[in-house]
Amino acid sequence: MRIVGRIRKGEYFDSVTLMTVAKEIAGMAGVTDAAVVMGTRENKAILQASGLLTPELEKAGDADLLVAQERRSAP
Amino acid sequence: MLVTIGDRVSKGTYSVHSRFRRVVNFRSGSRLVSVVDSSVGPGPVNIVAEGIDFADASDLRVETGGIALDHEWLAFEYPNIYCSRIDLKGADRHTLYRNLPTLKHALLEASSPRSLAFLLEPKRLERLRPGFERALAAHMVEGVKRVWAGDITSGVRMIAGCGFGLTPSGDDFICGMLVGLRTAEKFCGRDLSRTIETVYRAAETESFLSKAFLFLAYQGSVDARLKALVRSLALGDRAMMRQCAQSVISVGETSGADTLTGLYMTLERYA
Repeated sequence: MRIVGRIRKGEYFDSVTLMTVAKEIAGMAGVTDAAVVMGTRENKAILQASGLLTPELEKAGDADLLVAQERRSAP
Repeated sequence: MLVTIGDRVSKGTYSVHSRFRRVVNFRSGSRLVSVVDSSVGPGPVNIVAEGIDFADASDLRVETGGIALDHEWLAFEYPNIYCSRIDLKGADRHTLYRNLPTLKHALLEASSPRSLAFLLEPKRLERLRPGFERALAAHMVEGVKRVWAGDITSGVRMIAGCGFGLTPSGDDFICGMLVGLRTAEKFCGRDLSRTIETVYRAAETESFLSKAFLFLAYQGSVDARLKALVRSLALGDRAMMRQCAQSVISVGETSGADTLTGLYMTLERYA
């Protein structure tokens, strides 16, 4: 398994968009788990508990949008 | 034209914070003002504009007689100030108790599967994806359990900032709790100010929007949809209440439902 994390800074999306994006990412081939959430302390704790927190995402702040995915490693 | 201005809009000069299809948020320090279209409706810090293209506006100046959007002056032709306080004169507890189950039913019927309504019906947890979604739900369940067990500070700290959305679900839930506590005070005549203070202090966040919404809820200021819902809970019949609940649930993907879940659970325990 491989964890991929990205931070989007200074961009704001409404909840409908965020949920749609999360659903699309989770449905992509090879993706076994995904989260699109704001970088609050509690969300980062839950990402960690579910194995989706990368060192990069750990640095995010409350106003940053985090996109995390767990992907099956290429054979 | 400008339709209404919220009673918590402060005079001053603001810069754009964030833009959405029907809302542009402006910021000045810790103060928020939102210019919205009439489909969003009145709120404590909302300026409702009709027939005005505000989507690209970057600067806002609020004065007594009107506003300037990117230096274009728009006067209030018929000043209509939206009062964000909930007036419950004439309300009785029996109506509230009769209507509360209808609120729960409306929430379970109309809310998104990813909303916090799973706190009211645990079998909804099965609809969540294994992994992050279930870990998040378990975290919320534990936080809420601690709050109702009396450990408000640690429970609210777990809930705050937790979940999906620009204003995370947990923050919306806490806004609902704060409004619920204010409402319960009016019904049961108990002084819940210490509980309200504890909840608000524990819900600290660095998110500008969450901070602004939590502060308004703490002060008992709500938007028109939530105000109509609380009034209908206390004064209306079930049909009216159901209609008001659906209007709140339609806010965002889960925001309205998350707020109502917090409100419902708080009223159930405190009213």
